[in-house]
Amino acid sequence: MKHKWLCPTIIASLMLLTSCMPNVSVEDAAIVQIAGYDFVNKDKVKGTFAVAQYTKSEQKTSANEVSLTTTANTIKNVHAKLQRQSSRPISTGKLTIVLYDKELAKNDMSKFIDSLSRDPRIGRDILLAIVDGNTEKMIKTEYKQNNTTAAYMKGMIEHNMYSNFPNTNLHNFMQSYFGKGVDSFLPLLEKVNSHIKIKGIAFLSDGRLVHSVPYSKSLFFKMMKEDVREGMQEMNFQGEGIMMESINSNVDIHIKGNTENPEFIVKIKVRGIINEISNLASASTPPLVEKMEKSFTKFFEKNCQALIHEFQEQNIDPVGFGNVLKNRRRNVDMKKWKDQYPEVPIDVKVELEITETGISS
Amino acid sequence: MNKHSSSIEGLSIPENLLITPTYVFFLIHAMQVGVGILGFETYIAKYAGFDAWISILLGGLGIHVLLWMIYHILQDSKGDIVSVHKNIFGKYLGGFFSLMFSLYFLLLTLTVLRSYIEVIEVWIFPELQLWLFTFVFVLIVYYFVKSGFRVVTGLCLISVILALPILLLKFFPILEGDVMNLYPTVDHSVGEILRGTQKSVLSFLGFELLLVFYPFIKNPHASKSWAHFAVFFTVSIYLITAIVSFVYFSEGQLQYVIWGTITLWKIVEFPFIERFEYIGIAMWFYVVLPNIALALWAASRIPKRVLKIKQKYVLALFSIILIVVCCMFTDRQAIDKLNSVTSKIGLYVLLYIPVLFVLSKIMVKVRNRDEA
Repeated sequence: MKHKWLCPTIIASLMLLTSCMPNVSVEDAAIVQIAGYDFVNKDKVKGTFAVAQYTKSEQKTSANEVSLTTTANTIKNVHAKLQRQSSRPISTGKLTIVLYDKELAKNDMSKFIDSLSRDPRIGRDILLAIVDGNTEKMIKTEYKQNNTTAAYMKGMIEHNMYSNFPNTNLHNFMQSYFGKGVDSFLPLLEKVNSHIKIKGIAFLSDGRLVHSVPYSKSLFFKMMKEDVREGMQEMNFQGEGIMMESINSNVDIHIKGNTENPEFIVKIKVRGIINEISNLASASTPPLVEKMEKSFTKFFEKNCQALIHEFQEQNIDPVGFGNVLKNRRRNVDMKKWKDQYPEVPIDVKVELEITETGISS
Repeated sequence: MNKHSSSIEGLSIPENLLITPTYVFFLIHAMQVGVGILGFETYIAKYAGFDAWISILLGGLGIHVLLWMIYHILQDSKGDIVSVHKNIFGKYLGGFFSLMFSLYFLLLTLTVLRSYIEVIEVWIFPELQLWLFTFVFVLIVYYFVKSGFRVVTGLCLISVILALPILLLKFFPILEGDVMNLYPTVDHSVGEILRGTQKSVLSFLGFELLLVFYPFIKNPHASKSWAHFAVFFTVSIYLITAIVSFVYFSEGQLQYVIWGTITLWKIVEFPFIERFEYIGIAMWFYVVLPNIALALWAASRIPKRVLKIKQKYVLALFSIILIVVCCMFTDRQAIDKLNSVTSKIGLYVLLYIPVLFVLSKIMVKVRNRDEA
């Protein structure tokens, strides 16, 4: 041990090292959980941040939100201007949801996406959503369901992703935004009186909102896009509404034909439970169940088919047929594919099985 | 040429300073996995796209061949790079070449150190005091290198063991990913895949340090299989990392990502930690530390052997150079440039090994004929 001094020196220097960073304790930071952006004009954007306030009151779960709004021409400038309004430094590390109003999404979202993907403080599992209406109003309203609006919206979108809504987060969005042969989608939210609801799915092409479908069609989209675990779907059967629950489906896209003239077959295997059969005599006899299966099969095929036609008319490809083609065939010309897409024959084949019909016969 | 068999300048190290052959595994593996693995995906995918995993395999194969050559070179000379150069090129030219190697290792140290500090600057502390952090970092490295080769070896062992559990985290991105991204296999031309191979070989740099620490291995012959196993292990880890990244990112998206592996960590979520990348980057300190220590040890050992000056003076000089030069690189462009220059030089070093191999084989032939 010739250098007894060395080890203590290093330890001492390490102590010094901690103090050369500006540090802010959690209580002293304004933690932004929701950010919303509204369209003002082509160069200006209005930003609203909701900051959770954890007060020192007796009640343990006392949190309320304070929101700040400002108008600026770049996103980072919104951030900078809001710093001036806040008593504490704004930190965006806990951001859970970012809202964009419809007008802004129709214009161009690319600079917003760039800002999110560039910032190391932003997580990859945060949610993005498009709001039909004003995001500022949506953020500033107080809702009863949860302590904070952020928790409310996050909970709402996340539990719907288990059932009928397709999986979405920042990473999934960027994957399709930057990817070739697939277009991105986002949830479309709407404020109804004193609560928020998922209105449907908004489809984007090159960072621009081009189309949207109502929530009632979201299961059909999810079925074609990914595997469904706990879907739910109502259908008209012999003049009565019947409900299929616990829909479990697997999707497999097949390609027929050559690279120049591909034909797609979307094969979906569905299993589910019938849990509501109102006013139907002899409810669960095998022939009736078989009939139900047949009409459900037709129902799903028709609706998926219709949705694909809708996409083709709008020339958007959120299911990612282009990506499938690129992955299955060699030397695919993506430019040519873009022109070809609206005319490509796409067929949907559903294999459906009703496994149970509840606990009463 | 001298006809005595002692003309082969052997090198004997006291036995209490030697390491067992098993540790060669940790030395080579720890040196190969460094700061490069945090962002190599983008570079290899630039040319070969998502077929780049083939490039990694080809590159790995090449490294195995080079390692085999290095063992032959060293066995023929029974010493290290300095004795090899001396045998082949003579005292002055050989010494010059050896010093070039020393500078190359110093450059390697600088590149790893600066790249890692850049990661900290970008991801965690944008307001980092560069010179202070570099100073403390180099001080720690100095402390380890000063304590000798065996301590550095122990450091490598700890680093490999600490870094292994991080691999398990690949589970999270696989959940989010799509395996179809990898298809169709071999969609790129041979030329493109070979360009990817060239890039991937550069991420395996570091095994050439064997040229310096070879005399420290107790039973060099037994260490061969460990060294090859280390290279195999490194290639497997790079392969897994690349494939997970290709599954997780879409091809267009990966080109916008600078640090693929750190961005992967962003999706990792535990109930007690929401953003894993901070832990990951901090843990990576233990991966980078032996990397820098070993390269700096090698860089300072060569001048000792060539110029017969004490290693601690060289080490102190190199440490100061490291701190000063490190602080001169202040922006992303400069660091990127440093990285590409280092990889270019690294490529020349790799190409130099076969040359050395042929020369040393010729030397053996000539010497045998002389002795006969």
